[in-house]
Amino acid sequence: MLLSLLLLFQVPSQETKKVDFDRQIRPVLEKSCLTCHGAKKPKGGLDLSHGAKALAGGNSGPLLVPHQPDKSLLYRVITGQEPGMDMPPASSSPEKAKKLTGEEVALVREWIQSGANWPGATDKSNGTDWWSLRPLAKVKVPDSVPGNPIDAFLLQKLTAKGIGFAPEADKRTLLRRLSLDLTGLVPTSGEMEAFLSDKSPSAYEKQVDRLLGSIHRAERMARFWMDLVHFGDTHGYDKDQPRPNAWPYRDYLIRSFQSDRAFGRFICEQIAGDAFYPETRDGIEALGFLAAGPWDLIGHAEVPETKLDGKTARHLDRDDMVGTAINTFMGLTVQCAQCHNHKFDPIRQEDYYRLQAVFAAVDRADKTYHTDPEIGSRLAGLKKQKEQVEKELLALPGGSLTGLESKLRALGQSAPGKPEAFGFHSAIHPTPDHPEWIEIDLGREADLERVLLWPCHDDFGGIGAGFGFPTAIKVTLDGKPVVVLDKISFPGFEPLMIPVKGARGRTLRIEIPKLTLRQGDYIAALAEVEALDGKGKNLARGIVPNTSSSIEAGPRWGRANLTDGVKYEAPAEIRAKMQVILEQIAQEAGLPKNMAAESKRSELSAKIQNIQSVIASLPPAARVFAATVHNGSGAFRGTGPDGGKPRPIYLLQRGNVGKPLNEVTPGAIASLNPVSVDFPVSGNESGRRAALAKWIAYGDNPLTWRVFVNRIWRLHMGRGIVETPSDFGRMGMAASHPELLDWLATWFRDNGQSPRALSRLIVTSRGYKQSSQASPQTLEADPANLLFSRHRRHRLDAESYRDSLLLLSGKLRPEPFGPPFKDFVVEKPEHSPHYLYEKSDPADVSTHRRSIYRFVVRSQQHPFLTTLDTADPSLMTEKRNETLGPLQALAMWNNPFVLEMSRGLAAKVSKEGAKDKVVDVSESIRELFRTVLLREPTTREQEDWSALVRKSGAKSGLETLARVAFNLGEFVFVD
Amino acid sequence: MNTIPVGASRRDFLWQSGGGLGGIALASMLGQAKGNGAQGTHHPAKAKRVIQLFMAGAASQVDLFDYKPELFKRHGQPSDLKGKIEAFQDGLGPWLRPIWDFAPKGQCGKMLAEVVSPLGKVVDEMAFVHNMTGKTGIHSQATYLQATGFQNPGFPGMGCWVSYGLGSLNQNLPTFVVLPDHRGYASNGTKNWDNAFLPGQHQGTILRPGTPSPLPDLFPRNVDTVEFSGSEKEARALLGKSDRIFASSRLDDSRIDSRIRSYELAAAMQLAAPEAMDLSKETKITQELYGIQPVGTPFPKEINLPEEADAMGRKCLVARRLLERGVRFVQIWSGCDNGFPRRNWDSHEDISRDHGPLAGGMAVAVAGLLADLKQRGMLEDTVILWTTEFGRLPCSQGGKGRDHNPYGFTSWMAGGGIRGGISVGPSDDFGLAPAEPAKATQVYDLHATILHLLGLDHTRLTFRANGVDRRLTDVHGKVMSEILA
Repeated sequence: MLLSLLLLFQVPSQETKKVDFDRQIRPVLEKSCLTCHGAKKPKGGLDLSHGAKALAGGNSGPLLVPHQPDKSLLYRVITGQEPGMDMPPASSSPEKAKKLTGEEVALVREWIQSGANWPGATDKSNGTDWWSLRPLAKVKVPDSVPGNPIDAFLLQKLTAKGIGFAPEADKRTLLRRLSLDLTGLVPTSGEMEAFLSDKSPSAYEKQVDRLLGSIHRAERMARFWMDLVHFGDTHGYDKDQPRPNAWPYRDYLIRSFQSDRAFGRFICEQIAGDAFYPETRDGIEALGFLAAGPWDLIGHAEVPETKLDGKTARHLDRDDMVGTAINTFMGLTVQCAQCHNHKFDPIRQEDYYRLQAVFAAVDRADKTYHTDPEIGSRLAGLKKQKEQVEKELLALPGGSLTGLESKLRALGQSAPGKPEAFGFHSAIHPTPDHPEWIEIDLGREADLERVLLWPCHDDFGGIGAGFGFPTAIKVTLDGKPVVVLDKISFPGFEPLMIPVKGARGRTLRIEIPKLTLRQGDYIAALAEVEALDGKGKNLARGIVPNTSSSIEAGPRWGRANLTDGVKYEAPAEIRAKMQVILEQIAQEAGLPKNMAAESKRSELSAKIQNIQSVIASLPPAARVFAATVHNGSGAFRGTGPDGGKPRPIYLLQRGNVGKPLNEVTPGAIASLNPVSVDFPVSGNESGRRAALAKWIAYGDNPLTWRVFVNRIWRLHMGRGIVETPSDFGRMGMAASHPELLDWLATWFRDNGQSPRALSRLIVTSRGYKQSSQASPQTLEADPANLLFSRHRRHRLDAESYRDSLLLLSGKLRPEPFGPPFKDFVVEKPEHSPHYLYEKSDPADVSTHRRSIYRFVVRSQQHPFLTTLDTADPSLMTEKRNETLGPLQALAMWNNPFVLEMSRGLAAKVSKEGAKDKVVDVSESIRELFRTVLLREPTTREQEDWSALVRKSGAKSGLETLARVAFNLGEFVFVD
Repeated sequence: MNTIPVGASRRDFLWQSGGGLGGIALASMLGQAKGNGAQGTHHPAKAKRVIQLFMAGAASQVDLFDYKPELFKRHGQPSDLKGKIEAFQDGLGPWLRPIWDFAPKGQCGKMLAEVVSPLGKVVDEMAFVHNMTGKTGIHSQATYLQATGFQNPGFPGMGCWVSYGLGSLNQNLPTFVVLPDHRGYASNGTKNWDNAFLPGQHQGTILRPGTPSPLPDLFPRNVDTVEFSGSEKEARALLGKSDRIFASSRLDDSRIDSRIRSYELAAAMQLAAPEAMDLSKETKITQELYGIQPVGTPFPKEINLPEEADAMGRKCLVARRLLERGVRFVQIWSGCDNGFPRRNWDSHEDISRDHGPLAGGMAVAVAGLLADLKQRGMLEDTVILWTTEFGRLPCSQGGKGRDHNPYGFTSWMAGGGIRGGISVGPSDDFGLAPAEPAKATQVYDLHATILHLLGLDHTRLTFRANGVDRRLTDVHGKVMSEILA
């Protein structure tokens, strides 16, 4: 009796104290054990990074005896019970492996006592035993009803509940719904009349085909896709600078949907278009997909990858690319595996970093290309030719000099952590014979010991160390010559030390008699001048010198930079390497010349010149902001200077960039291996992305097809079969109609992968055409409409509302494509632009285009569209919110855009009497109703609405009526 | 302010509110809750509203609040920063003494710099946290981190979470109000207070007191008024009537009624918002308490203390009036983008030049705010949080400035449920980093503590977005019990 009572009390306390392995034990192992017992060369053969391996134990035998801590090796070694095996060993530094605290030891004990459950360690299914990860099922269409298979699937569930479809919606409702759904625009009264008067049985299908073929439908689809990929026309983050070449990706999307691009190809283009379809416009513009999201300009352009902050910025950048690719196409929350294995889905931490490695070579930057493929391929040919000639040139005897020079340049650029202030830069002259000088007034007479001249390194122009350093110098003090130097050799990063011991004076002057070659012209440049006294104190520091000329381009160039104390001391390793190259150059230059080679050399140089001038004569290249190998300098170098070699990617302990563990190779999610795709480690980096694209687009990938058809279904039906469209994992919602989903996915995959055909199938189903009115029986049987027993009424989305107002007021400029319009005024663009929407004139016709052509600012979202729940361009939006509230009401009632459109609508519907040329109020109101509500006013409405006009006068009255019409529930909701 | 999500069945709504694990989010329970939000908290609340003061550009801890005698002693000597320190620019010069002298203030004897000495009269209400540590020295990421708990964009601000968790205390003003620096936005612009994945009504609403439309689209623009204001009343009546006819044939859909109601609330807001922001309703004594100068007072062109005090004072006084009227969360910003001339705390070049007027003005205004809240009995259920994205290095940059310091900085709190007159989490002898790195305080802890004071458990306030149950505190955070009263 006593015993059972005790048990009763024990049970709940055990329940509540259950140790969570991932939360409580794994961090302890990572902190104290993994440094030695990780996946890479595990000590004693014990690998604690994977459950299965850990349970297998190491050279000293099994690690754990469940429920028996005192018999478990793990517990014994951390409590000093195992002779000679105190862990972590005292010899390891506390930074590498921390001793366990008493609390942690107790946790480990409790965990072993409760069974030492190591999640995932014994899961034979590999975690893939989940409906969405199983292969697509071969589903038979229920044979209850002929016609559209969708209806058969839907009716099966409805009949089981004892109900059927709601009646078909009336024609007016149907066309309004269809038109908004497919194009994001309300139908015009003319379109409605045509449909109503078309009595043919295929009248509806004719409308479907008309709308599906319309460019407006492609625009609507592109907007939907831009929500998913968080497209914007600015970078976001600090300063939020514009991204002027983002829009070609938006145009690519519109063209793809208009030409009904097969979905598999659509995937491949966006992840690796440059590999699959080189030199094509679509193949390049599509890469805007990976670059669509925000980008930390400061974290890249001002912080090099050698610093932790720079590493973090690039890590976050790749994280966004991985998330965009996997979330959009496969509906998996892969980012959750950044710090640990995914807690619910079979994604290991290593998988996540392997996916990062796929994008390890690319950055977000402008990529040049030619919209005309012919020019693109011509250019590629010319570039190849040029490379060939350059190779020949290098192969000439004594020809390694150019090679050495470019080596020198690359080495200079690779040096980390250079300051932004480069130094002083003289005026540019066509010949070297133009003396320049620098004069520093030390403020008092002083005894000088040494003068130090520091070289510049212009990484902005990609020139590197030693830029513009004088080849000869004369130093004077108070006009008296002190030192004259000629034939100064190229300094690299080394300062030139000029001994001036014994010199005394106040005005230090450095004369530069001959300038240094830049690129076809001549300059002098210096980073810093130091005048040191006997104690090593720099007397020139902070005194702005006088100079013969100076290019003042702050912060990089300016005479004040000469004495600002900012100079660059390169790491010893780089300086040593540079010395070696400099010596080689000196040797080469001293060799006797081979005359035959010299004449060949000038012939080849002329050839290169020639090719270059042909290239220059080609039409200018277009640019798209995309994922690309970036060829930069300074902090934002990219991988271009290393020939596009991918950065090494490491598995990061707890996702911390400061704690890299083992390096990983590119790959996909190991447990979901639908096809064995080879992820190349060497070769062109685009091969990695191509492999990922193939892996995603592979026919047996269980997720890709399900995820896409579900997104399109949701777009038309208002609710997904899976209502968490970007999460098909264990934390997502279950499918309401799993058979229908698999049938649709298979049908879509095997019938041309045509998004247009898929939409057509859905919107021509009886299920789609239902009324949104629910009968009492339906409300009872399917209250939340999970079974699609009626259409889902919804509020107009932000863009449909704005675009429809433009259309109805007669102001819409329908021309597609091209650079975005800006419905804001930019002030203070130089630092952090202020994007001022309230200063934009709503009557400005350049803004009267469809919302998809809007310039999308991240840091200051469109105030009006935001109240209507437009997508936030900083996050991937799987579905829009739909809210109502007073701020939205204020915006729809008072916003200058709505009022401007009301004026337009009033002018458009205003009808004058045939005889008296006076506004015919009742006729105008009829026209207003036909235009906005696609119906006639009732007698009662005619009376009420006319009363207002009688009070306010015709013009102002009609404008007010137009404003009311644009605010009506009947207009704002779609039945 | 109540807003209604549309298109959601009850089940959808529970799911979207983070109820996927079977828990009903507070937001849904409070959808109908009127008045005191405390009905729906996880535990009894100590406070029901928050003012967050954000110093954009990174305020220097060692020059304002964190007294370091060692820096006075070592001034000008070469600095040897312990640990792995990376300067953002090149600010690893010699030690630089605090720009202002320090003196003890209040009963607690807290050492405050002369420039913030006005705060001395309320320092016994304040709890300083000197061992704050961040993750990055990049303004944008660090500002996101302090404002939203994440380093990258796409996450809701703290005020959005509070709005989501507790709902509204009023009918005709927004729940979460932002008063940006009048010269422009800080790093990240409006993203620091956007609702991100939370429903739209939780987003921070920008108010611009003293402008014709202090709330977006509160009224038509002047140019539109002529045509549209004449029949305003009749137009609203016509809209209401038409909408009620539309609703009558769709009785099973409550959204149509909700929308009618939203227009009524909008009309109420047109009256309430200007009234809430009308500082002329305040006495001269109150205005002076906040450092506010008479309207039209001319100021010099250069940045100066009286003008900064006036600007900050106006925001603080508007904040108090908003809180009185049931606004739940007010965020006040000092400092716009980190450009030139400096109107921000990013003093790379000259601490005295920028921090002087900014900190001096802030101190006058905020001291006034705390004193005023106290005398009105509001301080006991209002939490004040003073914060910045990171601190500044104790060594000099170019002689007079200081570079970024994400390793250590200071925040302080005051008000409802906070133990005043204390300083916790000491920094090291130079104010570079926490004295005990293992005990460093992170933004998650500040956020967890504020939610705790509001009656919310930060681990249970969640929202499902793109497949993840998101929290303000991500997977971190502990309530800072040592600063609780």
